[in-house]
Amino acid sequence: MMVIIILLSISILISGGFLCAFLWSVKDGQYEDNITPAQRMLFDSSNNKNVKQ
Amino acid sequence: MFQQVFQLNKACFHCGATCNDNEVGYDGKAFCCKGCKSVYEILQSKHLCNYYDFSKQPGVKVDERSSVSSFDYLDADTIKQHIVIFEQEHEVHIALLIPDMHCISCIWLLEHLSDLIKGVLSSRVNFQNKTVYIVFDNSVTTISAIAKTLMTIGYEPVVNFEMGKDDSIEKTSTKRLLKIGVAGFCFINIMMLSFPEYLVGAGSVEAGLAQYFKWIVLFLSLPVLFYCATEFFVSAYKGLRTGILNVELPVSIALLITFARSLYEIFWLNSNGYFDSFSGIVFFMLIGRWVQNNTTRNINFNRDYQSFFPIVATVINGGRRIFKPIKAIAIHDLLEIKHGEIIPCDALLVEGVALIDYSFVTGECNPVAVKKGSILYAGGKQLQGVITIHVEKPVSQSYLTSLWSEDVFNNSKNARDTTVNKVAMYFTYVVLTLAAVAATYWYMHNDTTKMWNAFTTVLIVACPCALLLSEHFTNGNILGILGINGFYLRSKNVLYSILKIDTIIFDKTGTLTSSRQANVQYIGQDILPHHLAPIASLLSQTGHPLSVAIASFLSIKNIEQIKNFKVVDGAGVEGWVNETHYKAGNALFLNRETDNAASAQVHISLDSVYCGYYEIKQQYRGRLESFITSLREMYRLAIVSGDNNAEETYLKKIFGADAAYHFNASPIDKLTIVKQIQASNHQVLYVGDGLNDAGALKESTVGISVCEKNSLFTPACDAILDAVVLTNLLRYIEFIKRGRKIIWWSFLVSSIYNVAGLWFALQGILSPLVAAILMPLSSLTIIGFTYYSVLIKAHQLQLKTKVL
Repeated sequence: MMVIIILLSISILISGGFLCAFLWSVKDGQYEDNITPAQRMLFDSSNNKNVKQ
Repeated sequence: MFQQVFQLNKACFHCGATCNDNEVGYDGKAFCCKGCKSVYEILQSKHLCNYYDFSKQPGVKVDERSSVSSFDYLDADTIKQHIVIFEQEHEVHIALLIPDMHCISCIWLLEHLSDLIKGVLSSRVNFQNKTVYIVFDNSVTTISAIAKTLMTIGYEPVVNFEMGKDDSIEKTSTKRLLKIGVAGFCFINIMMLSFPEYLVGAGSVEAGLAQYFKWIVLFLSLPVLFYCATEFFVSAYKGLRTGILNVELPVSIALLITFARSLYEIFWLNSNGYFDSFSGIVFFMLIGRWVQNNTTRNINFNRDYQSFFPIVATVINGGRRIFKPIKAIAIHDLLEIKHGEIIPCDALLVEGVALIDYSFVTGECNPVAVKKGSILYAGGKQLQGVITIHVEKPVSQSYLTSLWSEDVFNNSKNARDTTVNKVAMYFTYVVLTLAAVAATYWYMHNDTTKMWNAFTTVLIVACPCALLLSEHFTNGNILGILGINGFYLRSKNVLYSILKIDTIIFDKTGTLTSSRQANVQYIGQDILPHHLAPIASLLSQTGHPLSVAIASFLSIKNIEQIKNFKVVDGAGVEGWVNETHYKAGNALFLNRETDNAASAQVHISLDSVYCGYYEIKQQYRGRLESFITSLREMYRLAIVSGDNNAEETYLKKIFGADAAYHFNASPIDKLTIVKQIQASNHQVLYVGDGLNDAGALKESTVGISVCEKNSLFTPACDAILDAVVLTNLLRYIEFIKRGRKIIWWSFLVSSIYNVAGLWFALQGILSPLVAAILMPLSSLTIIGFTYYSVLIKAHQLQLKTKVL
């Protein structure tokens, strides 16, 4: 049953990785505004056109 | 009088307002005013017309009358530090608050500022905080130039010293998210490790594995106890110290007992304990709190007079003009007040013609003309031209600020005992008694293991966290939905106190009436059509609001040349056009006796022959009558106004004879009226708008501040209501009422779980399995139940549920 111990350790490590990613994204300010990014992605194409002009 | 042809009004292509007769056509599109047209022109010249593609009529109406205030002071070093975030060589990063952004188009345009303003390198919007972050090259442009351009396109930036203070709210929100992350991680992993035990029962898992699981579980639960759950312990402790038994206390007791009991099981009974339930409770409760506090964090409800004032004033110092922060202004300083600026302190008028709008301070709606050498009071807004004033009193001691020394402002409203706190208290007593009874029962039967079992598990399973959750989630959702609909509440306590209301007091000016529109009516002999243009031209020469209202009412496009134009301050104007002498002004100016001095009138004469007068009535907000009629059925109503009683007859028609009317009420009077009504055991809802209502708003059970344009100058209050949705107020209250019922229903649901849990716990046979299933299940049911019921109620009442 050693294999379960190894598997569980790996699973906890992986989920720990996700936790770190989450904590990082919170500290980075990704959750400060959850409205604008969803809208911003709609703008891209026109943005490039305007930059060229 | 000349009959105007009624025509179908078009909506302005830019802002969506109805184009009245002064419609401006351009590029095949209709605009309601020159301001809107010029914004369109600017955007068109920069190829930014995509702005109009994302949403219909996205623009903000550019108020032509509003101050063409210069933003030069933004470049002064003392002010700059509040706006600049980062500076390196020529690259400067600034944050500007723009309350007017409201749709996708706004975001698009504000993120394309680099195309619009030379020198701007990039811009990024944070819609939630209504802030735009701009990076620019300070060798090409300046902060003031950027601010000016933003204003010309309708997005006036607001600079306020409060801006920096909001950080703390942001930080607690971030902290809570971190805690939720950690708690969720621990909860999920503890659940996973406890699974084998649920399925086959304790002791059946291989000894080595069981040991391994146990220690990991214990290790994972430590951050939950020492990091995530601390806020519950802290507020329980704070409550205890001030003698208030709040709902966090039973929760904290339950958490601590669960933890202690689990430690005991791990070390002595060789099982996993209740760590899964423990971390689950903390996780769900943190989410509940986050939902509740997430909604109103961007609105400041504690404003006082200072946020109404400008942050700097122009001080004339030996011929030079320098910007001084308001607080640094001293007695005997000479200040220059430009058109549209607010007078920051009591002062003497030294130079210029003052026409002061005191509506925000006193509630009086007509501007006052002030002669040289007279006193001007702080809070008034200069409406015409530039004046120089001599400071008599420092900002903090003006007439206006004296209102703030009233007692009301020194004691903040007591935190009211909410239903949940009370229920939780009874709950705690019942649970403690039950636990004690169960323990005694098993003690009598000489079963000490079962005694301890029953005692601790009763406390664990009966933890009132579901009660807390249902309250947090329901209130959080309600606050959020109300916010989307333009009604922002200060805290969840307002949800409770607003239901106790039996009396509603309305302020008139600015609350029931709209300060932006006026209703003009001509009374007297007919004026021939060809005289209208000269009259409009004559009146448009002055900046007086009454003249502006009439000129826009006459909507004459070709302005005529006026000869021998003469203005008599505070009286009227006269001049010659095409050999005709025109005279317009107040009754005295035309040697008339005033028949009804109460209403605002502008009298007209042609070649010294009196014609008649224009009467300017205030425009009441749309759908007011039906709104008040439905209110009358449920509440006692009252009207207070700093104005005279000119509108009394009209108001009586709507509000009925049984309502109370108080005219010519000073700010202090308004406060006293509220106090008197409250003294006779009535709960008052005060709906007001200006600084003159500040005392009353604070004193009343619930004070709602009505704001016209994204709330710059809302005084301290419990809730902010967008003026456009004033007439929806009753629906909002109904929504809150229904939300209250949802909480009671979810109490019922959660108590079913509690009873089920208690059934096992009292018998002393509550296994970790039952606890592990019951606790998260009850939490999830509650969350789902409240979330969907609130949504359903919102749909039933036709409230919006999405931001964009």
